Amino acid sequence: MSLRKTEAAILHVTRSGPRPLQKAPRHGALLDILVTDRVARYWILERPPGLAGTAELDLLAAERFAAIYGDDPADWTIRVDPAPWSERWLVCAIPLRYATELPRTAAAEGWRVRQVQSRYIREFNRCCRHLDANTAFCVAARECTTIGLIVQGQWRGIRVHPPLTHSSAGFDTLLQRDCRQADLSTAVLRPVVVGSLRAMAN
Amino acid sequence: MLKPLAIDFAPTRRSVRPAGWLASGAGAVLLAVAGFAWLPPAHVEASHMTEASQRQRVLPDGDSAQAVDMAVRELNLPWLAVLDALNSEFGPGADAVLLQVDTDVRRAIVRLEGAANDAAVVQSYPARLRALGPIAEATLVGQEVRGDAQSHHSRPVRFVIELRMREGT
Repeated sequence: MSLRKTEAAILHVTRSGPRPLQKAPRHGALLDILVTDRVARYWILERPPGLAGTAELDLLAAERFAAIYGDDPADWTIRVDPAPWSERWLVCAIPLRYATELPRTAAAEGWRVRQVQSRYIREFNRCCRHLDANTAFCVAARECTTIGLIVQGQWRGIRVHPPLTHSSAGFDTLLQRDCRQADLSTAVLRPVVVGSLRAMAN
Repeated sequence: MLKPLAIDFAPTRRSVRPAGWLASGAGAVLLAVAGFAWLPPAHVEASHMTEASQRQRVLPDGDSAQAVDMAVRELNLPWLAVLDALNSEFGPGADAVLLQVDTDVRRAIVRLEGAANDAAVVQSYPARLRALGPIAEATLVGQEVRGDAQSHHSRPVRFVIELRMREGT
């Protein structure tokens, strides 16, 4: 049996914080920390010409974060996916404590933290091999609805909306709004919806 | 079909390839053998104990202590983890190949010279490398396009990247 196929427990981090963390059933048991999109932040970073180092990329991402959200980047952990063939990169940020203190706490309880990811990133990575180059990938969860727009394999926009159960607008309206903001037509994108509220989107 | 996003906030590297396990195992065996080699035989140890009361204990001088500190620091650098990271990023099927690897141990720097198909691939490497646990910083020091359309270089973009290893991990 391969260790790679070992199942990992999931610790959900909701808007109100992480669920209670149990002690690991055995030392070194795998744990994935899954942060709700309600607390995660996303944006699209255009590839700057002549980017020479990670420090510069970090500064640029932090600067954009502060400009878009108005928060202090020092309180957040920011990660960029620097895809080599893309002109636009998806960036994700989660509160610093979930990327540093929480894994430390989990390790102290005997867990081996394998992944710390936001819900959208995790769902996208699970489904990406089946997605077209022109896709509106949506995670319709109980806490929020996240819609990402991909055109010709490149990220064009991403937004987090209220959950469909609490939204006055339906999924189609939300998608139209996001497409309009990204200067896209909904006709070119194939919507793919996952999550517990996907039935409401359909 | 789209590629997965390389976004993970986990503080350490997720997986170690089989080659990494082998290298780690070999390193552990080497350390164990070296450790036994350093252990003095029992009679030598006993003679040291009897002589200990007769001679004054000699402490290393400043230079020696500094040399020991430096040696310990070098041993503590994450060599195997860096090798594993390079193997995963520049192994078979990668977008670029390594031509030369140099190290500056005092500065905890690894200097990579390589070749790639495309400048965009090269520019993405610093961020990709820095995302790996044992690497604290990665900087693209330079890149140039070799040859012209007639030369048919398979990997025309040469590059130099400097990595600073994460210390104390």
